[in-house]
Amino acid sequence: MHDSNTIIKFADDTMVVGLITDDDETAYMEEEEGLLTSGLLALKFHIILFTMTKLLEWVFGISVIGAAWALVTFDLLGLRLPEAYREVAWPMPVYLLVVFGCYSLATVGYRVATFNDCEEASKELQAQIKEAKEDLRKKGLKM
Amino acid sequence: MASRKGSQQSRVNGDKYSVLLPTYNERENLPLIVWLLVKYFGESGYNYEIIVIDDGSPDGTLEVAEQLQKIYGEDKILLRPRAKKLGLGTAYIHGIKHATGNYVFIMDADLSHHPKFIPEFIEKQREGGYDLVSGTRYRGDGGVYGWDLRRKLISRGANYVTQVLLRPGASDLTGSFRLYKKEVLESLVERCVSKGYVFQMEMIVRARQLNYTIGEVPISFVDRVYGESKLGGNEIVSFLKGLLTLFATT
Repeated sequence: MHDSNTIIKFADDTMVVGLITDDDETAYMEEEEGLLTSGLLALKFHIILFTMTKLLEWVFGISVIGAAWALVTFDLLGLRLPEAYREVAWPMPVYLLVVFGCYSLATVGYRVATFNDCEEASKELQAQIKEAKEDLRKKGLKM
Repeated sequence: MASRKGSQQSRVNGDKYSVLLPTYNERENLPLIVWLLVKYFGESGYNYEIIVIDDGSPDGTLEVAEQLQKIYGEDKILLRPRAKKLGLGTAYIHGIKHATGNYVFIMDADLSHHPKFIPEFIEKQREGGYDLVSGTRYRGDGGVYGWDLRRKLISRGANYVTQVLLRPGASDLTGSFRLYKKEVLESLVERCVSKGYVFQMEMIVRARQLNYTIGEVPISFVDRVYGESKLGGNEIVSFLKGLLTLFATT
């Protein structure tokens, strides 16, 4: 068993779905070998594999949250939740975007404002450049 | 005191640090960066070599490098030139092939990265046994000299977007002053396909994928070329394209 991989096998032994993480394909290789040695022809099984990219994480996360939001706002399961829940949930996406936007602006603004200006580093470098040129000239470097 | 501790430790450890210096038209800066490297490695006592990878510079960088070799010795200054400008990733691969150290420094040869931080990188690496140590301009007393408001805004803005999208676990992704274990650098360079700024970002992202440990050291970045090479729309567009590619593929 490989900790970094998740493999799901279906009951008819012709479908395997797997999640590869950390670029570690060893679990997939073992499954493929297992299927082949058990006599199934290549035509009979389908292996669907994917690497969880950051994009997919976002798509997945947004889908889950989006589904939850739609469920509450449009009462998709007919749960007849209290009106208060619907009223709060309905504008949530916009609220969250605005909050995120403000947070982003504030964070970037703060970081630009506190970005260190290395005055002394520059002065030190200038002084060392002079010293280096002198020393190298003495050692015979022709610039 | 630091130097005695350093030389005792490196004699016991047998660690050797190879500094890769890809150069293109650095005839003025190369002697200076080499002088600084020799100074700080000498003072700290760590064992080192400097590998100059010149891509056929028309300004005579290689000749200057040969003079430096005569001054400091062929065991300390190694020349591995190439015929023409071939890009950073291949320069690293080329340089590593000839590196006899077990650790590799990568840095810019234009004096924006200061060798005085080298002992700090080494100590940080030993402290945590890190697979790679990255110099950061964005944390601690790291910073930049020579940038106006516009440049700082672009830098911090781009870094913020990168952090949100990639959550890389390192504060400065486009920086190129780093210390790698040699085998870590080898395995990362062969997996990376991007160019320019994005190449350095991809190295860190892949390092995280492979569960390598990353340490950070605040550094000061003295930009003396900013006035000549402004960060234009083209570079920003290609950065965003590279970022989105990494977002979608890693």
